[in-house]
Amino acid sequence: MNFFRYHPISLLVFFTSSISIFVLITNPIILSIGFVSGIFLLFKTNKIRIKNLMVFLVLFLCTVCINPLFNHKGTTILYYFRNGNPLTLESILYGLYFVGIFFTSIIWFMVLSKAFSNDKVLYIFGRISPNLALILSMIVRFLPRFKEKIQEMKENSNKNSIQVLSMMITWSLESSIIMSQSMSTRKFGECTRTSFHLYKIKSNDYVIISWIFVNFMLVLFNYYNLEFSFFPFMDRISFDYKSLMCYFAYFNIVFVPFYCELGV
Amino acid sequence: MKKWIFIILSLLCVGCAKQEQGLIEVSIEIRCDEVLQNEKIDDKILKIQPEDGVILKIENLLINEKSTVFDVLKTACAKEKIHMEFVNTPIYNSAYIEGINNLYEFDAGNLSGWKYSVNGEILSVGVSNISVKDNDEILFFYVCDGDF
Repeated sequence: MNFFRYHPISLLVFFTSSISIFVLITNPIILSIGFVSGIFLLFKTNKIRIKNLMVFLVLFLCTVCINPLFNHKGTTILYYFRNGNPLTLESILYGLYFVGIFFTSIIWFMVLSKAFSNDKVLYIFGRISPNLALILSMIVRFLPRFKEKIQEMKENSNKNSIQVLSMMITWSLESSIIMSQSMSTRKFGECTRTSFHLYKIKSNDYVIISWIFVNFMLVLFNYYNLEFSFFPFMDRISFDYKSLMCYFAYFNIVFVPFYCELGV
Repeated sequence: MKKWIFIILSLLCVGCAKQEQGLIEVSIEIRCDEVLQNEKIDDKILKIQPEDGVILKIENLLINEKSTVFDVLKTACAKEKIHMEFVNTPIYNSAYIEGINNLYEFDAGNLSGWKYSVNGEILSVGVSNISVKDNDEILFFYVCDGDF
């Protein structure tokens, strides 16, 4: 995607603002805007089929079912459980909303992992905390490497999976020692280091960052208008002009990649 | 043949014994007056509380003998379709009333919650451990600054 070639800082601003708004502000409209744009971005960037997303569905169904069992708040009583506690409409809807947040953030983080390659992570966190950046990038690299190695070992030997696992543990210990030796020969941690990068802030990045900032502030200052709570009874979703402005501002934040694609 | 008659008779006796376990009449009232003047409480919760503070009042509720105060509350709330949530505490072998009519414990400060009295007497025993007698007056009330 075109947008992912922008400067890492503007990507960071985009992702933090769009994810934090739908996680922190409880409002169905905000969540659905985040959800729709997240789905669009996901299908634009990942080669993913709807079938793959269905795996999560079981987990979500469990969450929806479990919430009303432990949460009995709400004014609309639908049914009484056998022990006498009520089943309320509000708790069911709250469970659904919770699952919505969960699912939307999974989608957004899938997109985020596509957008942030290893060197971008190193670039952003490298100056603030080099150790953290190194660990993060090592962890991110470690899992796929481990998977590849397991596949390789399974194909080239006729051992059972437990033996393969023990071999893998030996291998990972050994490789970590090799890695630390190689780091110490390169004098890691004994002098300030710089990392090579090709990122340069352009005028487009300034435009994007300020655009997101302005819209983010709009949402933030009208936070009280957007507030929506499920208990004890559900609020009406507010549609006065201030909240409409907020919805539009949030729309403007999350659809920045598409604006870039259109070349606005 | 004698054996069969004996069995049938004894069964009849058991049936009669069950029928004999009669109904008693109690009155129950649930009040939330204290919360109406409270400032800590959320506006939305206050909105659904009655203006006169009486959530529920039943003068003559018919209930089985040997029922506990908790049974009375449960029956009354189910009858009047009033929301009530409780948890069972196994150590005290009793139910604990968390909230009635969406007014929960701790909603009006750290010392707030539901208390109850039987015939005007506040008992410091779990609500499932008191059995009611005929013509008992049960009162559940919300306190904002409760003591122990």
